[in-house]
Amino acid sequence: MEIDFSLAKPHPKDRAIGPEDPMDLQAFEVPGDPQVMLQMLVEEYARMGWGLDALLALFRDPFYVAAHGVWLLYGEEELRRRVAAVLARCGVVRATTKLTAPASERLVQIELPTSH
Amino acid sequence: MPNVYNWQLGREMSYPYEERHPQWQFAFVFNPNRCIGCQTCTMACKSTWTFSKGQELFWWNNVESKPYGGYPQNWDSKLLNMLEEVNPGKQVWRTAEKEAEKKPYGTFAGMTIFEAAEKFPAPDGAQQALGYLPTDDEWRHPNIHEDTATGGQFEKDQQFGGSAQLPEHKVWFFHLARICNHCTYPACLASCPRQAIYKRPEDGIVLIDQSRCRGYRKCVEGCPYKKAMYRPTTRTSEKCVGCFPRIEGQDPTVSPTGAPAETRCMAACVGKIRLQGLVKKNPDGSWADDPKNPLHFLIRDRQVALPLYPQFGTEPNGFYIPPRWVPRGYLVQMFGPGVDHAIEQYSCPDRELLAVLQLFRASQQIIFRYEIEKGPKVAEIEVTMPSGAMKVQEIYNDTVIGFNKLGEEVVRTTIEEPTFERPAESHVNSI
Repeated sequence: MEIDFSLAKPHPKDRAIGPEDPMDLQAFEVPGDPQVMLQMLVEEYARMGWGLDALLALFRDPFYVAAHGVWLLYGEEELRRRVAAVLARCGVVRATTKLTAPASERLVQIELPTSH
Repeated sequence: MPNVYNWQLGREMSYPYEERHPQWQFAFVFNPNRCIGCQTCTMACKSTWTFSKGQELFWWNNVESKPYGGYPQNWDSKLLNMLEEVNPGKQVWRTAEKEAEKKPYGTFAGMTIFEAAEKFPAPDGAQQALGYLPTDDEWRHPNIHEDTATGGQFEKDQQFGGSAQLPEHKVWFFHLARICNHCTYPACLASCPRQAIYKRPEDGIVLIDQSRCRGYRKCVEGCPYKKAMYRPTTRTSEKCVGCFPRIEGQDPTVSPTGAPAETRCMAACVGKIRLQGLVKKNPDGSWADDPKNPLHFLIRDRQVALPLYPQFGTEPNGFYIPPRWVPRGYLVQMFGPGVDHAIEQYSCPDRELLAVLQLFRASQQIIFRYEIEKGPKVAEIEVTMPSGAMKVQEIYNDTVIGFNKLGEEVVRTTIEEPTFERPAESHVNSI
């Protein structure tokens, strides 16, 4: 069979999705309440000592997609208002941790092969 | 097949081998309420164990975003569908039959993967555990559709043929961190025709003997959590080794006195979602009564942490505190019928539970015992209960102290008085 190499090959992302394409998202929506998620996330992080500014930075960051989804939904100002309202109610709980395990006194010598 | 007792199902079940149990069992609690999917655990594991040729698609530790994602893709919904097909409408729990030690979640009335395989042999040959072999494509994209469906850093319509336009959850999802569960009744072990897989008697870690493995991939097919993986360069299967040198206390920097240390993925967790340990087991497989072991407290006493898909029947030793905002039906399918009780407790933790929760990721050494030094009450705060109602939680200035296997103190954490930042307009004493 002759192959025509002059034809441009489409990039995978530009190809149409076939019926059996494993890349195709097969999904349906399960309803949930974003305000509940926001409230729970804020309470959770407040238990770990996170205040308003730290929380907003987390929500702003696109790499933390769950938290960022809430930021996209509400926008910066509305989110700030909602986070502050939860924090005003539940407060920020802090804990001080002190490691008391004895520090290692052993230095590790990496053995290198001897050259011949 | 012999019968074995599975406390998570509250009943006996069939399993290819007789019951034999380790002295200690590797176990862990993950808290998805806190996980932000940073993948630090994933990379800690990858850079320690699976960075070599042929291991490119290996993620012994992965964090997937539910409900979209999975590694391999749709691993759980595929198996749930298979079980539903062989036992339609009967994969249910009888929750009226609870009993603290023997059946804490009631009784599972459906079929496990072992029972389903026994009664409904696959057309292409008998299986020890109902399962399937994922395709290469399914392994290849561990987080496809997870980071894109809500937009993320990309523009919509620019990826995967515009699939991000398909239904989005507005907005609930959670990050599910997963490693091998080092199950009490491992399906990988049951499926191996070479008997190359074994469970260590000292800590219950499940390992594949590389000298016996011939790469038939039956373990990959049988493991319901899909945590056994095939390596084409060696033509053998590999899986999470539970960082056993650290569990043995052989890392001189972390364990100078030889006490067991947490695995790499646990120790690297910046979100403090992980608590790992070893739980003492009785010869009959039940958990020894060890109320001051933090895992025993969270899993058996308080039942705040629940097994992942207990209905599969392998008695996994990984436990999760269910994320509070997720629709309840979804959680019950994933963690069993203990979800309501777990969320109720976790939403408003009492004094002891709040103290034990401070031990998550507090020390690199495994905590075998805790003690609480009690302090005065410092605050009352309002928290949201599952019903949406508010409840008052009492905060005490308590100190929780963790001890390692040798009885040495390794960490102490003190809960401080909470601080409140109220909007300026809302209180009259503002200057």
